[in-house]
Amino acid sequence: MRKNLKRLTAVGLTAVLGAGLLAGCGGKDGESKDGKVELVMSVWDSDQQPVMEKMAEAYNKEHPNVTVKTQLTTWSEYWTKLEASATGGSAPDIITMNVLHVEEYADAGILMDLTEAEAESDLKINENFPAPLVDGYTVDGKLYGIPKDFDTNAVFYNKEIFDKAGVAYPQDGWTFEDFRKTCEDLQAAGLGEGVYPTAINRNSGQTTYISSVFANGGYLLSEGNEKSGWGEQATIDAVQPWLDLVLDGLSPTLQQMADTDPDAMFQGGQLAMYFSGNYMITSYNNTLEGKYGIAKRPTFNGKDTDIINGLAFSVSANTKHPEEAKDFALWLGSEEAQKIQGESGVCISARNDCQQYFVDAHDEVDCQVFLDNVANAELLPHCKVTSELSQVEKKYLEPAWKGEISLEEACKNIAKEQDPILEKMNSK
Amino acid sequence: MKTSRARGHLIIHIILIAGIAITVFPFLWMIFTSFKTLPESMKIPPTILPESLNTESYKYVFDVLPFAKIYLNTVVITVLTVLFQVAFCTMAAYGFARIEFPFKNALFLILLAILMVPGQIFLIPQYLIIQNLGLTNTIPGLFLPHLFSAFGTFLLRQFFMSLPKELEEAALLDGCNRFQIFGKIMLPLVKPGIVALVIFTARFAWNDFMWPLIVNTDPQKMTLAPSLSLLKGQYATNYPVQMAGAVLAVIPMIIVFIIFQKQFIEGVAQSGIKG
Amino acid sequence: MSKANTKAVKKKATRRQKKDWVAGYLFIAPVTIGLFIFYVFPFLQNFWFSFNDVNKFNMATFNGIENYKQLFHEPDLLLALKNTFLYAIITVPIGLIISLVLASFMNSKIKGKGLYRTIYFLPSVTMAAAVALVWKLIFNGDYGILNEILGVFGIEGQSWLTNPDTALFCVMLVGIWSGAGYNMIILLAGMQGVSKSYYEAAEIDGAGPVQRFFKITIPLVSPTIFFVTITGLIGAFQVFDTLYMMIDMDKNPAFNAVKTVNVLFYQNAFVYGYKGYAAAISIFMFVIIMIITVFQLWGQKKWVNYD
Repeated sequence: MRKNLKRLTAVGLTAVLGAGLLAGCGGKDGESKDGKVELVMSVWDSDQQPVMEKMAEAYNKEHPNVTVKTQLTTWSEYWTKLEASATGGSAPDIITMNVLHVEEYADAGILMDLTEAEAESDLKINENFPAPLVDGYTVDGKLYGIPKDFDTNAVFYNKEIFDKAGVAYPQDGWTFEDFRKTCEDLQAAGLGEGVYPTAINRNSGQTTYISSVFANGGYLLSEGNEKSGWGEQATIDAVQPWLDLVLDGLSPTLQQMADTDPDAMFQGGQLAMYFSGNYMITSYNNTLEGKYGIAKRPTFNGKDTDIINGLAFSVSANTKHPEEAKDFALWLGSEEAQKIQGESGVCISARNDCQQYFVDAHDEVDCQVFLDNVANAELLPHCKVTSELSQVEKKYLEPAWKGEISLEEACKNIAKEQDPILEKMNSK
Repeated sequence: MKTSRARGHLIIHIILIAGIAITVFPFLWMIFTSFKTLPESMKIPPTILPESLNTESYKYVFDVLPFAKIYLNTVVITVLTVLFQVAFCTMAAYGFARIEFPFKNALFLILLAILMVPGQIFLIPQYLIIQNLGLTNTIPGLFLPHLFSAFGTFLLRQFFMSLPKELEEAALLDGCNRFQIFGKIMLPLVKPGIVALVIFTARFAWNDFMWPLIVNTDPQKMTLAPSLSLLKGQYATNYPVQMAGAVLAVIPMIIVFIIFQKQFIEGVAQSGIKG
Repeated sequence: MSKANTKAVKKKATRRQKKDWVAGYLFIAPVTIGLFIFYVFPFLQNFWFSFNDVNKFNMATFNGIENYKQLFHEPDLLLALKNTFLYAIITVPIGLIISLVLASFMNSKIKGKGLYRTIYFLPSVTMAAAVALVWKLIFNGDYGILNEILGVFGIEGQSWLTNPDTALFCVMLVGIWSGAGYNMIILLAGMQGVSKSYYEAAEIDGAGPVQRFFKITIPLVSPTIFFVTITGLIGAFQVFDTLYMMIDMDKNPAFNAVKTVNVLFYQNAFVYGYKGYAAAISIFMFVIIMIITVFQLWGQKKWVNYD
C-alpha cells in the first residue's frame, strides 16, 4: 500500500507539473505568430449555436486571418459564468447580450463603447434597425451592442384540441373578449382530463399582460426608471382580466403551473392556446409539428400593442483583439450576416431588411404576425435592478394569483416596495 | 436459538426489501419515463410502463452530446482528483490525529472552519486564482482546487483517532520513524476510511457541476454534469429527454461503483480478519 | 514500568518531539497549503467584502457595518433561519438512525448483504441534478406517480412541491434518501474496524443482537457516529443543490417556505449582485455553524470513545 501510494503521488505530481507547463507553453488564448486571430463568441441557445457558427465561417472566408469560436452555456448558468469571467477580465470577445443585463455590464466597464466604430462604419444603425432595439442597447447615449435578433409574441394554438371541441380557430383581429369567449367555449365543449383552454402564468407578463398594461395607458416603470407603475389604476385594470382567467378555472392554477411549466404543458398537448414568442417555434416543431397554428394576439382596449425584446452582440472591453472584435461585431449587423441568421429560421434578424427571411424559412406555420407586431411594439420594461423588482412582484402577485388577496392590494404593495429599490438604484 | 435467529433475519430482510423499494423506485421511474413520449409523460393518470419503447429521447441526447469524449474527460478528472485527494488527505489526517506539533489545534480548527462556509463563496475567487495561474480551459484547472479537502482530512482523522495508541508507541520505541509508522502500520488499518473517502471523492468529482462549467469553456474538455444542463433550454422542459440524459449520466457511475465495491469489500473484509 | 524507566522515556520524548514537529508539518503541508490558497484566502476576501458595498464584478467600496445593520433588518432572515434549522433538526437525526440501522444490518450475518449494500448506496452515486429532476416528476401534482400511489390507499394527493406546507418536507425526504447509503458505508467501515472478539465475548455472555448493538457497536463506533453527525449538520446547514433544483426560485409559490440562509446568500450574491451584503450573510451563517461545531467538539468528550 505504501509503495503504491508513493508511486501514485509521484505520478500525480509529475502529471500536475507537466500539465501546468504545457498550459504555460500553449500561450495566451488566441495569439499566434502568423498573425492569425481567434475570437470567442458566447451564446446560450443551443438552437442558435449552429447559425452563429455559420456566420463565423462566412466572416472567416472574407477575413482568413480571423477565426471565431462559439462558446455555449445554457441560460441558467450563462450569467454566472459571464460574471466570473468578466470579473477576471477575460470575458468572451463577443458577448451575446440581452436588455436586462446591458446597463449593468456597461456601467461596470465590461462592454466596449461601440458608438464611434458604428459611426465610422456603413452600418447606419438608426436607419437599419428597429428603434426600440437600438435604444435598448444605448446606455447614457453610448452604443454597447449591435442588435442581433428580436422576438415578439403571438397565440399558439393546438389544432387537435380545437377540432375535437368543435370550436373555431382564433382569428386575427380578435379582441380580448373574443379570446375569453373562446376559452369558455372550449371548456364548455369538454376538454380531456388535465387539459385547459389556456395558461396565464404570473411570471409570463412579457407574453401576456404587460402589453395590455401599455395598451391601457398604464406602465410598470416610469420614464427614467424613477417610479414603479404597478400602483396605477390603468395597470391594475389591464392585469385583472388576465388574472380572472386563472381564478375562473380557464387556466391551470399557479401551483399547477409551478409544478409543470405551461410551455411543457402546451408541448405535451395539455393546453389549447398558449402565449409565446417566436423563439419557441424550433422547439414546437420538434414536439408538435403540424399540429399547431399561430394567430395574432387579441387586441386589448382596441389596441394590438405587443412587447418586443431582443438580443445584441456586444464586445468585451478587455478583448485582446479590439480591432478584429469590433469589426466582426459590426459585420454581424450587416445584411450578409443577418441574412444567414434569418434564413436559418431560428430567430428573426433584427435588421429591417432581413426580417422577412425568418418568415420565408417557415412553410409549416405562418410567422408573418411576428413581423407585423413590430410596428406596435414596446420594449420590455427593464432596469438595472429588474431581478430584485421581479422578486417583489412575485411576493405579492402569487397570493393574488391564488385568489388570497385582491389584485389591487397586491399591486399597491408592489409599488410601495419597488419605489425604495428604484430610489436606491438611482442614488448610486 | 437457531429458529429465533432465522426469524430475526426474516424481519431484517423484510425491512431491507421495503427500503429497497423506496431506494430503487426513482431510478426505475427515470428509466420508464425516458422511454415515453412527451405527451405520454404528461398523461393523467400517469402510465407506469411506457406504452411503447420509444427511443427518440436517447437519439436526441446522443445527437446533442458527444458522449465518448464526455465520459473520457470525466473519468480522467475523477481518477486524478481521487488519487491526489486521498494521498494528501491521508497524510494530513495522520499528522493531525497522531503527531503533536505547535499550532496543531489552531490549524485544524481553521481547516474545520472551511467546512462551515457556504460553498458558493469560493466559486469566483477560485476562478480568479485559476485564471491567474493560466489554467482556465486546461484539465488541471478542472480539478486543482479539489485536490485539497478539509472534509477528507477530517474524515480520515476520525479513522486514525480510533486506532489504539499502543501500536504506534511500540513502533516508536522500536526506532521506527513517523513515515515508516504511517506507511507500514497506520495506513493498512485505515483502509476502510480510505475506501469511504475514495467513494465520496469519486462521487463528488463525477457529479461536479458548477466548477467545470465556470472554469472550462472548451467543448473538448467538457465533463458530464455540465453537459447534461445543455439538455434543458431556457424555456423548454422535455421530461423524457431529461430522463434519458439522467440515465446515461447515472449508469457509468453505478457500474464503476459495483466493480470498485467488489475489490474494496474484500480489502475491508481482510483487514477485519486481521484486526 | 519502574519510576526510573518512566523518566527516561520522558527525556527521550522531548528529543522525539522536535523530530515529530518536522514530521507533523511535512504530513500536513500539502493539504494545508492548498486549503489556504484555495479556501482560506477566498474566505478572508469574503470577510473583507462583508464590510464593503460590492457589485457583481467585485468592485468594492468600504461601508463599515452597513451590511450587518441591513442583515438584522432583513425581513426574511428569521424565516431563513427557521427553515435552515428545521431542515437540520429533522434530516440529521432521522438520517443517522436510518444509516445506523442499515449499517448494523449490513454488518450482521444475513444473506445477500453485498446486494443490499450496493442498492442502498446507489442514490449516493447519482448526480444531484438527475435525482432532483426525477423526484420533481414523482412529486408533480398533476402527472406525478406519488399521488397515483396514494390514491390506491384512498389518500387524496396534492401538488407537493408547490404547497408551502409540504415543499420543505419533500426536499428533506430527498436529502435523507440520497445521504443514507453514503453514511451507511462510513458507519459500516467503522463497525468493521471493531474487533470481532468483542462480539464473540458478548455472545458467550449471552447478549442478544439488540444489546450487542447498544453495548458494543454504538460506543465503539462513536467516533464515526460523531463524524457523521457533525458532517451531516454542516451539510444540512448548507443544503443548496437539491433546493435549487427542486424549487424554482422564479416560479414556485412555495419558494419562501423553503428559503434557507444559504438560498438567501445565493439570491443576493448571484441574482441581485449585492456581494457585500451576501458576504455578511455568509459570515453570519459561518458564525452560527462555528458555534454549534465548537459546542459539539466540546461535547464529544462526554460520549465519543477514542481508543
